[in-house]
Amino acid sequence: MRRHFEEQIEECNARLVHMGAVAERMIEKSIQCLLERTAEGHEEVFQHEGEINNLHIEIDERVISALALQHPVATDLRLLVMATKIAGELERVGDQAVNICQNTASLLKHPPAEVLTNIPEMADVVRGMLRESLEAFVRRDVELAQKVLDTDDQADDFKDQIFFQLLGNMMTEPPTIPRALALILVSRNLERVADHATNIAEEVIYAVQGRDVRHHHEETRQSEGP
Amino acid sequence: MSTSAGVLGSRKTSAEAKIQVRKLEAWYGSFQALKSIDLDIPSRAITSMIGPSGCGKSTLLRCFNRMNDGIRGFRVAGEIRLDGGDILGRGVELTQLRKRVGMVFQRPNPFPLSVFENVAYGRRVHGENSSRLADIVEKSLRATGLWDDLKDRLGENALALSAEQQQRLCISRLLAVEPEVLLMDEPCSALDPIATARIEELMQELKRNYTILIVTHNMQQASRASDYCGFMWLGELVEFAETPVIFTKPRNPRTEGYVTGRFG
Repeated sequence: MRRHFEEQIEECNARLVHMGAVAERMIEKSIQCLLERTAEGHEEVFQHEGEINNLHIEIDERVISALALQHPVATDLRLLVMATKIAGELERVGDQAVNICQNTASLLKHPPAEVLTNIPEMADVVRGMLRESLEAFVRRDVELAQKVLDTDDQADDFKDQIFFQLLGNMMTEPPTIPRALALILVSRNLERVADHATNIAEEVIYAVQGRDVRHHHEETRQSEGP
Repeated sequence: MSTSAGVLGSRKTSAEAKIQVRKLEAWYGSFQALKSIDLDIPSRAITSMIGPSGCGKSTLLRCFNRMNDGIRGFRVAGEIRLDGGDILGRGVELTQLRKRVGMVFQRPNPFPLSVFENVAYGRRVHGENSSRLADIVEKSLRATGLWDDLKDRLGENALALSAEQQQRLCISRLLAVEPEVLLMDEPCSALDPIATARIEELMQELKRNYTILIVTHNMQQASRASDYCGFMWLGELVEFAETPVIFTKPRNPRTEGYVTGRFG
């Protein structure tokens, strides 16, 4: 029975790895379209959305079935709960890729900005976070997961910088407002992807070590004492 | 049960210990069954002991009311304190100890007497006069949820009851002598799932007034019914913690291996 259960967990894991690859591909493609000012890859992103939604449902069903039938505990339980939560995060990463495509489509109606703000740099950071969070999940690598958490502030800073940069542009050049708003939305989409990567990294740490690092939970508990 | 989210670890420091075990060792002849056990059993809570066959959990349980004393070659060293008082000393009156620390066994073992006499038995042994016995029997049967079913069958032979009723009756028989600690050695292994659920429900009721210690092979029973859980392995207490900790993030790899079914 134990081997059968381990196979079930492995299968669930394999589907999650596949889902991660699809989500990563969607983000790569949507950012590429944004930076190259093209809508040519959008169709591919939209097609992947259906696939990622199906994977989300499939993984949840597998986890619920394992919880009901195998009564997992300890690491097994944490891995399965992690799987369903990461699947939820990846599904939302897919949504953000679709949103980036839609905001890029709005941008394409306007002439390119002379300076595209820090969005390319932010996109690099966010792509890296997503890639590393998935790698941390595959390798059960707590150190790499921690690195993702440490990078989240960079993504937040980029979002703020971009907002103030574009706010200045909008005030001095009102005709750029529609374009600036689309770019602000894109920076928001990217920041959300960074948040999802952070959540994935937190789940990895919990699954591997049983430590709950969300919302500075550990620090709060330690300062409260026994 | 202390299973609510976010409170793992919160009860450990607040619970006062009913039984304190220090450096407890036990032998059957040359075989060492318990190795340097240190343990605080919290008052008015359910503590479960899990572990593979032969790990020493039943031996430990039976130390708390000195049930091993009659076994040839059995020796014990170390300390067990009940409310601070030593229970291993030579001067301990065993009848009094077993009145305070009662035991429920794997198979229900009612006496071949009437329902009434089964429950009244312990009090009679302790010299109770008969005028109060009816009240004591009723109270004890009510505490285990048997009164409504059996109040008109008090004269029937207890052996005619169902297995679940017999086990409840045995618990009533214990409660009649007003114990403080209930030891339960696989109390549901002879019962079907419905009866098991009812006995577990009864344990939740009883823990308001009694300290309960249960030995079980059924890990799901330990996880759903106990507040604290100890994992034993080859005579050692490997890990003791609040039950949610043992089943979500055990600290010791041997506990992890056992509860997930990887070994044991």
